[in-house]
Amino acid sequence: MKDFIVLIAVLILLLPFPLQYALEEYNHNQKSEIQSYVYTAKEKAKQEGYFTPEIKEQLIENITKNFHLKDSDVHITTEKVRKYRQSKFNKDNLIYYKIEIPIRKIIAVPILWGINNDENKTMYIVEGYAASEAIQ
Amino acid sequence: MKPFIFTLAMLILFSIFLTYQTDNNTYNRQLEKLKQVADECSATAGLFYDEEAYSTGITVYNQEEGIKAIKHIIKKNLGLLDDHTPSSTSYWKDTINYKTVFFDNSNTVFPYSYTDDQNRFTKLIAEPTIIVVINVGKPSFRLKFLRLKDAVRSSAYEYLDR
Repeated sequence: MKDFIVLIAVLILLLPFPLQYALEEYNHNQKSEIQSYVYTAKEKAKQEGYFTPEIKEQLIENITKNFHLKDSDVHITTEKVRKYRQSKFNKDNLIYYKIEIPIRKIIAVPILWGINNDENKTMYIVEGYAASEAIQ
Repeated sequence: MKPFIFTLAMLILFSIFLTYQTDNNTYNRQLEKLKQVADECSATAGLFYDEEAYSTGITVYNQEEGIKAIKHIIKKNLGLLDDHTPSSTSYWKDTINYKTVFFDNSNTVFPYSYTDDQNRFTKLIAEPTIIVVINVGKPSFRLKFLRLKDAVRSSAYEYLDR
């Protein structure tokens, strides 16, 4: 009986760790894939001069089809003006993009550490500047 | 007593694993981002060339504009301050160094075999090419007994004549 109680106590202390490993791998995989999709979308946007609605749609579709996210969860901040390539570098002529997606769960067993579910979320942000290659 | 010591040892081991896993995953994502920044730099520098010479079939890069562009792209995308030290929001903690090499029709006889000055790679250059190498220093890991190497990523942008 004593052994059983000790076993339960040890299990409660040690079990969250493998769960955290799994959650960490899931979140890492999600962030990596999204970084890769944003890179592809950015390369397309360089050719067009800005993030066209088709590019944005394709990006949202890529992000939502593999992960449990809805279209409305993905926030894309970018300009609607087409930028053209110039013969001299102009730092105001760069395409700015910012893509935010929610990370639903950071800690696997939040109750153990006294964290409630609302604090266990964050937004993953991918942002950057790219030069346009679109010819006038 | 024995279960207590055992549990304590397992706790420490699991914590070390978890810390390493989180830090290493973040480091890999940042390395991937660094490669993307290097790609963006070399591609942007390739946009500035002498148009008159290009119309006669000769590619001559405008190195001044190219270097200005690369400096700005690195600064904005990696979150640096003006003197190339990282700001508080950046992942990297050391000063960033980068090196740019331009190969075009005005300074190279093709084909040319280029070796990186730290012997990390050799590239056979057959077309006008821009090579950008970014060295961001050591990553931030929480486990202090790890021996870390500098993070370096490079990118080459070539103009293929078809």
